[in-house]
Amino acid sequence: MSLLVPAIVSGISVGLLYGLLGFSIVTLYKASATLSFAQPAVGMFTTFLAYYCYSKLSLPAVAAAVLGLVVAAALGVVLYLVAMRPNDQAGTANRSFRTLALYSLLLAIATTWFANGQPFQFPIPTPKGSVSVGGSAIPLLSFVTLAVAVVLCSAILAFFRWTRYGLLFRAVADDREVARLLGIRARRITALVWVAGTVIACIVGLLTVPTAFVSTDTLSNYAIYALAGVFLGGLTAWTGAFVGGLIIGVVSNVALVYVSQEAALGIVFVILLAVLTVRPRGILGDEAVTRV
Amino acid sequence: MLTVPAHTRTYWATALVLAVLAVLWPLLGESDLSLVGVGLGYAVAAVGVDIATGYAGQPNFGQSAFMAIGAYAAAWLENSQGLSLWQASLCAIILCALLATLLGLAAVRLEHLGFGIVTFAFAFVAAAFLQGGALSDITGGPNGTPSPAGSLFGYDVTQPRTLYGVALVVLIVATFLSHNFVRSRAGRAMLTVKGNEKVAAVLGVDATSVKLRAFALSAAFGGAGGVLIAISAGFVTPASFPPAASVTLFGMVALGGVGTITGPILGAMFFWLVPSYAPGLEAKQTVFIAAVFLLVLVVLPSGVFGTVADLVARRRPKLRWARPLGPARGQPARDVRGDDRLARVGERRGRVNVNE
Amino acid sequence: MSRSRVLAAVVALLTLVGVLAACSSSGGKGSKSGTIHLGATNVLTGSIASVCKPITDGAAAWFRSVNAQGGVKGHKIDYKVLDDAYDPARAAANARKLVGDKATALVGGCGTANEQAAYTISSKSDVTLIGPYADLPDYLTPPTDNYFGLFPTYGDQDAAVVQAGLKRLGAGSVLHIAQNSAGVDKENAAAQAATQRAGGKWLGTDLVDPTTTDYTPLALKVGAKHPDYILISAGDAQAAQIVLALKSQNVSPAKAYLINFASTGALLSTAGSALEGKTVSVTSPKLSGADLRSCLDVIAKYGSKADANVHGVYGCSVAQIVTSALKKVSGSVTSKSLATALESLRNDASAPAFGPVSFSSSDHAGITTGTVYTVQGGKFVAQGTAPYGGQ
Repeated sequence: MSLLVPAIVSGISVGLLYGLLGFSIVTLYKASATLSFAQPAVGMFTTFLAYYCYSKLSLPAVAAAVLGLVVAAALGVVLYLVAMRPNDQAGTANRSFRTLALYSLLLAIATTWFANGQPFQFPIPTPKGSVSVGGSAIPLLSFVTLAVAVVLCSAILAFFRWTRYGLLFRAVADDREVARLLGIRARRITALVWVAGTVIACIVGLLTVPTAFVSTDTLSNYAIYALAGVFLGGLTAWTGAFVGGLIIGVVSNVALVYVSQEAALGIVFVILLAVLTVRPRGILGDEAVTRV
Repeated sequence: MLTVPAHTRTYWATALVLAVLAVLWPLLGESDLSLVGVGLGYAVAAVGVDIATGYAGQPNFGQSAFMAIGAYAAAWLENSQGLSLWQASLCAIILCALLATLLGLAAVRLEHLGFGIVTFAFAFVAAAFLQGGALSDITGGPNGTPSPAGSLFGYDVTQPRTLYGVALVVLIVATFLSHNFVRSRAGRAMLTVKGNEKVAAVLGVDATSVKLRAFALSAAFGGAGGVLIAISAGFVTPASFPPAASVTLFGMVALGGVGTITGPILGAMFFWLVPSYAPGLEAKQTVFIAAVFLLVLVVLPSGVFGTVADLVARRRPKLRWARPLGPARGQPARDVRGDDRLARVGERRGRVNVNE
Repeated sequence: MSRSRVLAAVVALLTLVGVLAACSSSGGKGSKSGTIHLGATNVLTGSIASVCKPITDGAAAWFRSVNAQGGVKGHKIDYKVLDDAYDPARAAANARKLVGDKATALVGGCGTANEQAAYTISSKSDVTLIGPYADLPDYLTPPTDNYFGLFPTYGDQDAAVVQAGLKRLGAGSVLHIAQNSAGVDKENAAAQAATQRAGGKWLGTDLVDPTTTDYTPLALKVGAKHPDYILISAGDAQAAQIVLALKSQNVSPAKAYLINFASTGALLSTAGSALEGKTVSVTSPKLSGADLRSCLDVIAKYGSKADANVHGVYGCSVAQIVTSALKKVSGSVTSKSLATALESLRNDASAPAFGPVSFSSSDHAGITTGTVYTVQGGKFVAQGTAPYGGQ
């Protein structure tokens, strides 16, 4: 039993990352009515771009990371213009499928041209070392992740709930046509949403760099856990992704310690199936029909 | 884009494609036969994905799991349990259908993307179990297991020419079953109400049972395709049908045209053969394929073949082989022979948005 | 668009595919008399391509240098490499194509599942498979006519490094962390046997999946066992993450890490601090030194910079051995005569990165010794040799 507490603690650490990745999915869904499968690949891709700011432009790592976020924002616009804006009347399902294709495309580009010689070391200064809590070591990086998650979530929540712009975003997501009729520039808004989603995904990627380096494999593995976390917590709830992600992280890590990888994935699958069948809106989701 | 019934009467096109594939059978050399033969296996699986995605509105993102399960089950039944190749393959296909029915019972009430997510997760879980130690007595774990093998009328099925013939027959059967399913009363009603359960219930269609049947059929085709591909490879390993293959299969269907049956066959052949036959692509082939996938979804949501069939249907509405069954894009329900009730439903609902 | 035009378009598209297929099957047989045809199916695209592609690139570079000097006894070498993207079905099709195009042997390649599929096809036509970067112990004990290995099996690699480590630093408990890939069960058995032979205590194996997101659970399990030695069987990327995860949980082997694979250097650049002074490795080919010169020079001249690593050197070295055997063939070059020539090699020094290579009719595993390395100053430092394959 002595491994249980450390297992749970480690699950919380990784669950925060699942939650953040899920948060980028939720942001895109709540603000543009698109369920994006592309976020893990977007995060991986933008991390590579940030890494190139470091290795090819010889910038110090911190500057490179910041520049990487700026580049990620630009990439968000590009992704929107290339993949989502053309023919954007095609329907929610089609938009979702496009993100699936985007995932494949970004992964293919990175594997073909970026991956040779990976994994790469990208020394972003992060607090090293850990805090010992009851027999388990919590890496200080986890606290950084927690702080980032709290700040991001609060900022975006505040933005959407209390600013005029936030209202516009929600209007566009609720009913594009009506929003247009009211003179809201829906396309511009959606582009900004993609910027937000891409930047958040980039942040997740950068947070994984100290332990998993820069590699095409990392975030792809997070995909299924992040998605499960999103649906568990509720696709329509801002904080749902974090709640769901944490639960998924804890459950899967405990299963990994005591059983096996298959068991972990199997349990996550059962949870996902159960949630979608019994309570499709998730733990924190709204009563309103999920547009999934 | 999920349910596009405007061109269900594409059996002539399907027949043409199958005829061309049959003509190629005696013409190609051994190594080309083995490559195109594997493409036929993917075509069978892609048709399966189309049945679930395009007709029942339930995107099957877990087809790689059914392909793998079909292949592993057939291999185990034949190698360890001593069944003949045909018995083993048939049992494996039935097993896939049963598994899909089980999964479907829980998942089929979910709308579109929810179902897709569940099947997607299923792909990952199945891959983990096929690779892991829990079932390694059956699957061989990460080592994999030798493929099923055997003979048909004295011809060794592992020979490319024989396998190609078998695969072609399976594909013909698959398309026949698909067209039949789509043309059945329940299938057509399903299409016309576009997966809306409430309207379906009003018309006396048990939408759930139709969706389950579609999903089971889809998985059965996946299993069949998996067996064919495994026979060609000689070995079944976790690397044979990774979860990414589910996405590729969907890409094949999207490229050809969701809901067209012919389209997925063409899409499968294109995606599978391009890396081997396109000179100069080499390292960039994965990028090319993914780019084509994205491009099709953006520019031609009905797929290449689907768009072509749509155009034909619009110019020549009387054309038997491409007459829309339900309301075409932006038009009120037309006269659908013998289905006045459905037509009137369409009219009352006014403009039916095909795009959702 | 008229009906006939649509039909014509569809027919044209399909005919195009058919014609391409038909043309490819009949083409490529244009062989000048005397050209030696070699081939390979390799993972050229996909996530492990960065490890695998340099292998056939390195071999190709060596063959090009041989051709530049007139070939083998005046015969040029035609080396055709096809991509299978780690898909066994494609690898089988590639093998059929190469065999159909009269390849004498398949040289190099990478990836256990796909090379196994290729061998199933090539061996049916008695075409030899030489030196793939893959773990295929089934084809070595007993040796099959159509397979020659230049990559020590994972089991042999484990045995060698366990033996070397325990010899250097004393007996102790050994825990194995292994990637759950093909052959891992045989590998475990061999590692366990070697540990017991060296007087150590076998703690068991923890398997890791390539889809792992978090290595902390692994670190917790490993830490609870307090091993003296931690044997890691994984690639650079996974090994680095494992080592760092262990470090973050303050887990460390009491005596040393045992690394049994040839690292490209990515391992040291990412996890070097945890490995410093605490690592023993036995690998083939050599990781550094003058013996790599012949290959690195050829790769620089006839290959690309991306291949100038341990995997490119591996491929080039395989090609060097094959060239040496080709030179020994009397009469026409066929699969049989090449196999006989390979079996005649005794302590052949044509591949300095491998060291002496020996085959015989009863032994098709050519690599008999690996180099022992420790990690000092962030680099692998050679410490002598260790035998593969038993005591």
